[in-house]
Amino acid sequence: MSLQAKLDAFKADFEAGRPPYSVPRSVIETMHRATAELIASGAARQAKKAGDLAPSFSLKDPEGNVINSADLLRRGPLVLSFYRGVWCPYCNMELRSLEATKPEFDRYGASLVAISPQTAPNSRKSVRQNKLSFPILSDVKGKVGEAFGLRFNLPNYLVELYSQLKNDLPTFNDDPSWSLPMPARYVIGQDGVILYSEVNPDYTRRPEPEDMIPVLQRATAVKV
Amino acid sequence: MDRLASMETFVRVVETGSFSGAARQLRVGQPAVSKSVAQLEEYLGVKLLTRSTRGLAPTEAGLGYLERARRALEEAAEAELAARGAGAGLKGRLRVCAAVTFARIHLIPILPKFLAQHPELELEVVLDDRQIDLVQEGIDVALRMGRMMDSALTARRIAKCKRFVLGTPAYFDRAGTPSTPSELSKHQAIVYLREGSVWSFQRESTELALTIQSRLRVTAAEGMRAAVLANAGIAIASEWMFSPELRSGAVRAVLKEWSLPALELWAVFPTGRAATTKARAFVDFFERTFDA
Repeated sequence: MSLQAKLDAFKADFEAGRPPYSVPRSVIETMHRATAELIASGAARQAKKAGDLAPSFSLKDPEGNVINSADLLRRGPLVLSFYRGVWCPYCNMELRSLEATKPEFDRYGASLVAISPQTAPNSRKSVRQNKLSFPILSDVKGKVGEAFGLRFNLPNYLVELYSQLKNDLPTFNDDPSWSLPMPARYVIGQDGVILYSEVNPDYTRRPEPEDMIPVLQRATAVKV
Repeated sequence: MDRLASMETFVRVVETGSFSGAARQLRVGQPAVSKSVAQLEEYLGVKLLTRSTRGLAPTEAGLGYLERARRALEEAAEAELAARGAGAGLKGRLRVCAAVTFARIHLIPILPKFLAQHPELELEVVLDDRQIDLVQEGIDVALRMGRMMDSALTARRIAKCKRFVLGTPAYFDRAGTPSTPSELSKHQAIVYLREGSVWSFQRESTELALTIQSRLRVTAAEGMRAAVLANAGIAIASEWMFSPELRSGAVRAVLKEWSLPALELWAVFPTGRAATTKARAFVDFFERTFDA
């Protein structure tokens, strides 16, 4: 079953108000409104894309080790996944799906890292709950997400809703700003140039991890 | 002195920036142009042009005269047309410019009909994929594709057309049919140099882009067409560029659930000049007749 098929099935249950979430219709409608407005803003078109030089980064994994994009690129191409946080069920499904495909990425000598604005304890929880073998990096105050053009501020009505749902982003992210990255996937070549980019302003849509494989095949066939 | 002819000459000199440029457009010798301007200046008792290191430029009096002269010429043309009656047809020379392949497939085939409607009209069709200087080349109207960047141009959008990733069945038999944009990474693409090797797609709200491999890059659409038809690889092209082949099945579009930025067709008139009656009539005809 493809990742998107799993996400679609989850979304159908979630939006029908079924347990365990049992979300009322008004909440779903608020979420739809926020997504529609983010799409309409055209923000996704402003993000870094294929052909652009990827912004370099130096971020900590949950154990406090500094992971440097330049070091990763010296070893091979880089698959980069921006996600929202451990509180987002769609993100967790995507992380598990990436983990399942990771052996394929390894075959091409590619590194896989995920980036989210959440704090280290939350990233540890992500790794533990989803049984991940790749690092989750904490993007403090969303700086790297910003450099990739993915960061956006939540509208007031969504802040209000998240507060009611106890989805306390300022605490999760140790950042008072109520901002998030749009989910996005990148494949970056060893020269630092983005080979593939996919940005999803609708967080219920994510690329298939397998879609990275032809790009990695090409990245490793054309050595820089 | 023919005042209207002198006005026309003066306007062309300013637009081209030289006597020789105006002479080329008017198809007269350069001495005739400078003589005509000198006579006009003498008649008006005021200098219209100054020579600078960058060529000829209108004086302040010349600038004021230029604007009114343009209006007068346009009015005169309208008056002539009105006097002859609506059915009388257009007269004289009309210079049109368009991209080579687009014109070959969509413009040239409908021109006989336009010429038949206007027996006293002569058409010059300048074919060039590049965006040439309309004023320098004396173009009355250009059919141009793409988004209009230059706000100084007077332009009108005529049509919009989809773009696809496409190739021949023979190529797909050999190299496989891509089912996702990411699979394009494995293909050889023919790249139109002006557009480059980053291809961007959209599906619902998703924005996807990838760099593609290409060992064949060409500068003209005609070359792209030939390369695709020679089974050399996939390309991004507009429906317009392959209308006959898409209909016959000689070329097939793939990844149709993903959309590429659409291509727009514009009628562009030279800067600072009102569209001539002839140019407008031509655009109206094209718009009515164009079958994408």
